[in-house]
Amino acid sequence: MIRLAIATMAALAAAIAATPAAARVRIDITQANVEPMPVAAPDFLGQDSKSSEIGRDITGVIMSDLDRSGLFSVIDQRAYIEKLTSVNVRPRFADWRIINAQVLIAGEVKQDPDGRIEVSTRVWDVYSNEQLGAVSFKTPADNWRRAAHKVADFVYKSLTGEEGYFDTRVVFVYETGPKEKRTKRLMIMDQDGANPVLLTDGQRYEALTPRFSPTQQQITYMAFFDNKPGQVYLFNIETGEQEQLGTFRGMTFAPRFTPDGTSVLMSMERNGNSDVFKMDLATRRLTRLTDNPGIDTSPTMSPDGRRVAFTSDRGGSEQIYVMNADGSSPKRITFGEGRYETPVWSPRGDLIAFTRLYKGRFYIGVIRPDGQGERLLTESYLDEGPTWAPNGRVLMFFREPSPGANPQLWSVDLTGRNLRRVRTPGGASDPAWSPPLP
Amino acid sequence: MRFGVAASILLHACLIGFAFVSLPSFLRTKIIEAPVVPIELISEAELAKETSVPAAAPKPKPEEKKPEPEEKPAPQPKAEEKAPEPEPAPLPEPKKEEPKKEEPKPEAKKEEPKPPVEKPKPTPKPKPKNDDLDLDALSALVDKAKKEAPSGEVADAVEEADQPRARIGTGDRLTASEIDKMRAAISRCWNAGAIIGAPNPEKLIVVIDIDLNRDGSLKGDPRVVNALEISLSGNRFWQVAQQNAVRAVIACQPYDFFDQTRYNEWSAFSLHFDPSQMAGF
Repeated sequence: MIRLAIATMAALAAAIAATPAAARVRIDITQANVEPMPVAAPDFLGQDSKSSEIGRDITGVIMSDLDRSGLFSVIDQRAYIEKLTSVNVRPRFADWRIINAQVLIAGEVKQDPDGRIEVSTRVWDVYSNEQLGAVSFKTPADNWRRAAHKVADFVYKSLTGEEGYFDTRVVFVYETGPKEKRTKRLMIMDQDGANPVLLTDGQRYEALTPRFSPTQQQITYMAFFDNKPGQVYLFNIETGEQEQLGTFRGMTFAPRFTPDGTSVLMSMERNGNSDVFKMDLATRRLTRLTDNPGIDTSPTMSPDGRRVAFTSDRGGSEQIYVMNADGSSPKRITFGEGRYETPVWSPRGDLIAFTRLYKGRFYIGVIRPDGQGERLLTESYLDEGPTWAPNGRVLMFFREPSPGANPQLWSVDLTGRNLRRVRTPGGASDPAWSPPLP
Repeated sequence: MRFGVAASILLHACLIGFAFVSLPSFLRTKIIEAPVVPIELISEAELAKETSVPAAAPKPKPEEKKPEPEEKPAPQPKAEEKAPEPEPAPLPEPKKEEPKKEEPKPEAKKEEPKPPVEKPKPTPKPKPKNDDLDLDALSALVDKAKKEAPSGEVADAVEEADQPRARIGTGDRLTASEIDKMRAAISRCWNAGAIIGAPNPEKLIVVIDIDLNRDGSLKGDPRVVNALEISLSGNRFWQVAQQNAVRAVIACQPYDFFDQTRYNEWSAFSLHFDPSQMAGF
């Protein structure tokens, strides 16, 4: 009763305070349209036929990058009313609003006397009539594709607040031959599937589980050389230099760089038991992080370097645990049915991606490091090996759609939307996403 | 003869030696290099200054401080060059943009400020709709049969369920269905795909005040109530959320589904864009 009286008084006071004639009606908007944002991207202008052609190519790559992100849809160029004549002239916004564009990407390509091209871009908000950003890049003309990715990254960042991930590459295991006699080689390509290049020849050894350094063009992977126990290797992609990370009697596997790129976490098997270790790349000193009779593997470090997530079957079935970076205070964070494997800490730090096996089906999911908010994003006969885009927004993984089928690469947004296949030359598994290129 | 034997031994030794040296490298895995060709970033400021775009100048770009050697005749400290560019610049927009907020909108200007004489009006409407919580929240308290739901929803639901007590007000409020219409219209235009996956979406609330003309078009620019907080936060996601919300409000006009005779009631809104409930985290 007293509460009611107080509430009444409070309500009256509020009413008096807010009486002025035109009281604003408050509306909470909690639902949005999740359709891709319509953007217009006319061909980048050129000074002559050559630069115009490069401009068209660049626009094509930008459009396809933005479209693949699932956040944008590029409006058909045939619908455009205004024909831009210069990147430095203010567009007629009404012409772009009519065709429902929310954003206009205008650009031009200039050919420098030194053979390089200069690609300039402006991003316009068609509704507020404001420029959201402008940027310009210079690069050798035959490197136009990367310039296009850089522009797409810039547009992406202007419109989402997040760093783009288009100017990146992916290393994966390229699989050829019949299932029982597969050749597994490492291949690298741009994130959109362009420029695939073999890194290893697969004659003497099979390379597995490549993982990109978050700071350099370097990978670590595990390989079986000449029927010896599998060992972990380092591979500098730019120089081709490879080296084994220590020589051990037992197998070393499941390597992954620490976020600062100075160490590699890995599992080492000794007498049938495997534990998690950390190797400092400068000193090659090995530090043990777990010491448990269970199988501890797949370590991954949080971006702040303070914690490590890993898989362990110490509780009976494989589950994900999080411990301090020195190995203390391990705490189980997954409690669902089935098995949880290959945790991968998001570069953003807010989520851990994992593979879950439940009732014969595989899932890629994400969970918060405190064990809350588990969400499954994909499901199939075999989904495995998630890897994060450097901005922590998109996951790539590999899928075997049916028993014996060639594995394929797929990507999905962390919201679970925009599941799509990634173009590869042949069978592909175990993708590893690179950091942004310099 | 002896020379032949010696030569043969020597040659064989060379051959074996060569094999020792070279074979390992033949056997070694062939590595194909994948070099990265550099791309040079030209500062944003450089491009921005080259422009003849009048609107671009007033934007307080962070890069503005960069000294720009070319194209600018005068050193011009900072005071916003008003496009002294050489470009003829077709300049299709007749409006001259001033500092920031001041009326960059050329259109939708025809309505009078707000002298509306016709006031409350007896209204046959049975639903009062008191601003937000106040009385509705009270009634929710009284008949505690209702379950919890987001505040806006509670207010509306109670209203509908509570017909008999509905005549408390003067009838000068929007009905739940009118509010729903407005909410649905803006939701449709609010393109929040990018924001939904952002970290901490519960912190990305954007509050926008708008005024409407009688034809449902916007009267003046939408005002972002928490714009200062957003820009001071340095949170890019929040800034993008703001852009998206403003875009939605502009794109959605005209809001011409209201009863003309009750213009007073729908002439001003405070829109709270809250992406947290869509995130699914």
